[in-house]
Amino acid sequence: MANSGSVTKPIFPAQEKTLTERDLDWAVVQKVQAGNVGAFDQLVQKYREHIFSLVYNMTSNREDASDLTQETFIKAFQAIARFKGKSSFFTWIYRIAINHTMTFLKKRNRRRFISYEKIDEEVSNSEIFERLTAKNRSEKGALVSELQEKLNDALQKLSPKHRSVVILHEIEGLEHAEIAEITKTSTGTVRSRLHYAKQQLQSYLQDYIT
Amino acid sequence: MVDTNKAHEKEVKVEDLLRFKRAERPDEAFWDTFDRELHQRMLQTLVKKDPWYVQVLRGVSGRIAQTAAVGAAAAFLALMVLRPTLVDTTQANGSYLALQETASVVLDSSAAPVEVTMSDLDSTLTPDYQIEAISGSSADRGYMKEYSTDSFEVASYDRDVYAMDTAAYAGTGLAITLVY
Repeated sequence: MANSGSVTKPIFPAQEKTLTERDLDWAVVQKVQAGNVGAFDQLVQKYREHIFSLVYNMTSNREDASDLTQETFIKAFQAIARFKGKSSFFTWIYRIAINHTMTFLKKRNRRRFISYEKIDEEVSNSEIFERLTAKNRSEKGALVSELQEKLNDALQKLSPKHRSVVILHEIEGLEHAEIAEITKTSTGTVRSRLHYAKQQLQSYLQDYIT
Repeated sequence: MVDTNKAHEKEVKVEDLLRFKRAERPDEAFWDTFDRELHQRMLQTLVKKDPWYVQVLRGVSGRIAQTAAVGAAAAFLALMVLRPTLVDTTQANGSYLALQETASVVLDSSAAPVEVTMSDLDSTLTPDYQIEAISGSSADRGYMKEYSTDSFEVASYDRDVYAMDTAAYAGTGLAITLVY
């Protein structure tokens, strides 16, 4: 995540001490641990979209993603008393989400029907999309739906481990080191998985790559 | 060089395509429902869940009580099943012991006539042939008849009694009777 972790961000300029996202999260966690249950809602509001995006791209199903995201926060809430702050809260909750989704995917033997989220209309006005439309000589709306389907299919063809690394890096924008911490692997493993996954995606999506 | 850069810029990479996925976002209505459902589920969790140590204690105490109840029931059943068997065995053993006592008394009492008979026999006979000597000396037909009749009556009685347990008891009964 670009705006979290080790990046120092001045929240209160009047104060001498600058707080990182990690410190801010830790302060909220301590409030929850002290009994202020309502403070947990701040963490939900801050991370719900990131967790949902991760889980949605892992499952390609809107309803499953909603359930799994809620369950991730419930698990975090139940375990927050044992959270000691050795890692950042966002690393911790991403790890819970990844593990919970992996368990869900193992249990789900066959793919359920896919229910996609709507793509923001701004995307169809981007430069890359203009190029794609020109190349494929198709109507924008049709191309958006087609590309969405192809992208989801291609992601689902990857193994869950490779898929999670691609999602965390390319969609969520996390650094290699952050992904390594979440997945409890080395940065070398993360790079290797990312390289392999991109190669696979390139072959699946070659019709759209110039 | 400029053309190459332009061509490079126009390339569509996997990374560019994956960036479209960032645009797949739920609307506000979805998040309203999400928040409402999450709050409900968290409240349910708060109401239902006990602290972990309470759950552990409850589990352990429940298991102890369950184990004790099952153990007590098993012990009671075992007692009810085994008790009649134990009683019968005791009675049988008692009869057997009584029989052994009787047998020893009878054998002891039968030893005296043997010794008396041996003293009347030829002194050249060795003790190994004492039984043959007894047989040989009992040549009196009247005595044999009387002895035979009595022995059969008593033997048949004893067989009836001990046939309930084992054949060995019946045999023992016969042997005792013959000596008697």
